[in-house]
Formats: sequence, C-alpha cells, structure tokens
Amino acid sequence: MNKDPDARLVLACRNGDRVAYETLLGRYERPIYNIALRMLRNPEDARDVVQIVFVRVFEKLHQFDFEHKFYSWIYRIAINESIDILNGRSREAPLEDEGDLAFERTPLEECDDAERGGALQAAIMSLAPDYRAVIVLRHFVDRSYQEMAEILGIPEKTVKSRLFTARQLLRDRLEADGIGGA
Amino acid sequence: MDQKTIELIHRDIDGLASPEEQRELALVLESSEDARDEHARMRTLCELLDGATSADPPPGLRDAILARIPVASAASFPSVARPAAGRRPSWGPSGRGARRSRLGLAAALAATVGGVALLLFRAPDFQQLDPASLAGTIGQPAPGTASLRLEGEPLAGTIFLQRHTHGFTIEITMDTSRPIGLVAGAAEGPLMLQGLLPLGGEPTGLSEDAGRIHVLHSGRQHYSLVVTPSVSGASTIQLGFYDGDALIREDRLVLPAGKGSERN
Repeated sequence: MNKDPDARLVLACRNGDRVAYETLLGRYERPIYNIALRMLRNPEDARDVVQIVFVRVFEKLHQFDFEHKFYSWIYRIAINESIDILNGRSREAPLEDEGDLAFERTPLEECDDAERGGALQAAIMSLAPDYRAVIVLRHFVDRSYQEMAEILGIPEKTVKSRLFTARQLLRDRLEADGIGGA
Repeated sequence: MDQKTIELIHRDIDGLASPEEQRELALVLESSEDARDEHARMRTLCELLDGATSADPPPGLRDAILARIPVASAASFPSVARPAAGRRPSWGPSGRGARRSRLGLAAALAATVGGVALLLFRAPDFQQLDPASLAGTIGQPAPGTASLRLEGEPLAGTIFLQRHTHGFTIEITMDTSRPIGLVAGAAEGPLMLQGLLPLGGEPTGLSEDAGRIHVLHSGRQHYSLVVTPSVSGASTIQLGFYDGDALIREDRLVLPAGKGSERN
C-alpha cells in the first residue's frame, strides 16, 4: 500500500465503516466544491458535481487502486464530471454565450474582492475546459505538475504546456480588463 | 523569448525551480528586459490566482450526500408491499388484513424487478419549479432544500427534499425498530413518481399500483423518490407511515403548477 494518508480511510470504508466515509467527505467536500465551482461557476451545478462525485466514490470504492493516491482519483472524477456538465452546456448553447448571461453573484464573487474576483472568474471561464482544469488544480487545490499529470491522465510535459498557455491567456484577458497588470 | 526561459519563469513562480535553474533564470532576467517583464507579469497573475478565496460548500450538502449513501447492508434493503390486485388506489394502505398476508409474495415478486421501477400517473409535461412557492409539511421550513427529521419509536431518520432541474427528489433514510410501511402518492393533481434503487443494494421493487409507491421498511434503509409534477396543475404528494394498518405519521408536500414545460 502507498503512503497516501487517505488509504487507511478508504480501506475502512470498504469494510463498511461509515464514519471513515464521513471523514473522507469532510476532508474533500470543500476542495471538490471549489474545483467544480471554478470549473463551472454555477453554484447549483457545483453542488450537483459534489454529490455525484461522492456517490460515485462510494459506488466504486471497491475498484480503487491503492497504487494511486485517493485525491488523484477523486479530483479526476470531479474534473471529468465538471467537463461533462460543460459539454452538456455547450450542446445546449454556444459557450461564448455564457459571458452574456446575467449571472447572479456566486459564492466565489462574494468571497473575493468583488471586482477582481468577478473578473478573475470570468477570465477563467473564458478558457477552454482543458486549460481551465490545470489552472484550477494548480492554483485552487495546490497540485504539483506531477500530481496534475496523474489526476488528468496526461504526461507532465503536456500539463506544463497547458498550464503555461492557460496562464498567458488568463493574463492577457485580465490585463485587457485592467486587472492583474504588472 | 525562448521556450526554455518561459518554462524557467513558470517553474520559479511555482517554487519548483532547482538552485541551478534559479541561477540560470537570474542570468536571463539580468540580461533581458522582456524576460523581466514576463516574469513580473506572470508573478502578478499567480499571486492574484493564489490569493483568491475559496468558497464554503452550501449548508446541507454533506447531509444530502450522506442521505444518499445506504446505511445498511444490501441484504436489508426494503421489500415491497403490493396492493390488492384490481383495487383502485385511494390514500392509505389498501387491502388491510389481506394485504399483510400478501406482503411476502409481493416482496418476492417485486425483488425480481431490476433497474428503476417507474410509476406513471399520467404522462405529464415537465416543468421548472419555483421552490419558493412550495408548501406543505416538508416544504415549509426551508423551501427547495427542506429536510425533515423523524425522531422516536418506531420511526427515526430523515426526509430530505432536493431540487433538480425537472423536479424534486425526496431522499428518505429510515431507521425503524419494526417493519413500517410507507405509502407515497399523489393526493391530487397529476405528477410522475419514480422510485430509485438504494445505492449498492439489491433491486428494490415498487408496487405497480398506479399513482402510488408502497415500501415496507425494515431496519435502516435508504431510497429516493423522484417527483416530476405537471405544468397543468398543482400536485400534492402525501407520505404516510404505517405501523401495521395504523397511520402513525403523515406528511404532505404541495408542488405548484409549473410556469412552462421543458422536456429532454
């Protein structure tokens, strides 16, 4: 078994320990919610993603491979579910329409300095989902390049390429909005 | 600016540059104004990103998740009471004395039902609901995401109402000290009521009695009822809990008529 601090809890869950499941839920509810919220912006969608992720974790726990880290697994589910929702949105309406909608203030925008937070999230939403995912994993759940590669199932080289490009796109967008300039 | 410099800048900002890479970058920054500008701008961006506040998950989310996780072994998931054949349903358990004797057979029959059992009162148009206009025992405390805690003998647990795009899910987690019957149905108005299987459990059969779902609880169990009201009129869902034939608790939820239809 690896040195993943969650491994013991996962094992206990497999043996029917509900408290262990609740502990994992307590540990990951917030990061998963924030991943989904940053990926999707919509709090209701983010809430749905959290529920889907944890129910899926429960259902698939017996398939978890202890060679991997639990967070890699659960973050990957969260990213994939978020992208599925984004794909669903894009089938319903062109993604570029998203910026024209009259969004209500999201929890993120209420927490952040309003203008900067809103502009930052709008800029993140302007990125393609693959770029958005690396920004979210790096800056909002503090994953290394290698960890992002494991979560996303892509080579580390690709992670770096996407991250650097995503940052440049974000910076250009924010600077055009008068925010984030050096 | 070459790719190597760009990577060095990002690695440095991410705190991943080795001492050798840091020295290499310092030399580049010293000699290149473009590199200095890029480094400064990228650092500003990353500070903005890293300084963004994370959001608290909404209240009740954890409970909603836990309500969807079965608390019992697969062997103890509910079996089903099937009402007397040919009897037109009315509110409350049907068949009375005869019903009990049929429970075992009904449960065996129902247990053969795989997947999701579906009861369709009427093929309705789907609607978007305004949870603020909900009323009823469950709906009153916190419309849209209300929960109701059941406490005491012989019935304990939670009923959680959760809003979805096309309607609601009533998540029921029960812990009963003896078999307790639940009848869920439409008191009035058209709606679609769908019973979902407990997660990870054996198939839970549901009665085919038009307009209602009958379940016999035993021990700790969890399942969901998906409710899709119609646009054509208000709907009332009644949940009745029976100890034998005696009604021990009743809850009502009034779902208003929708503003418009939506269908997949």
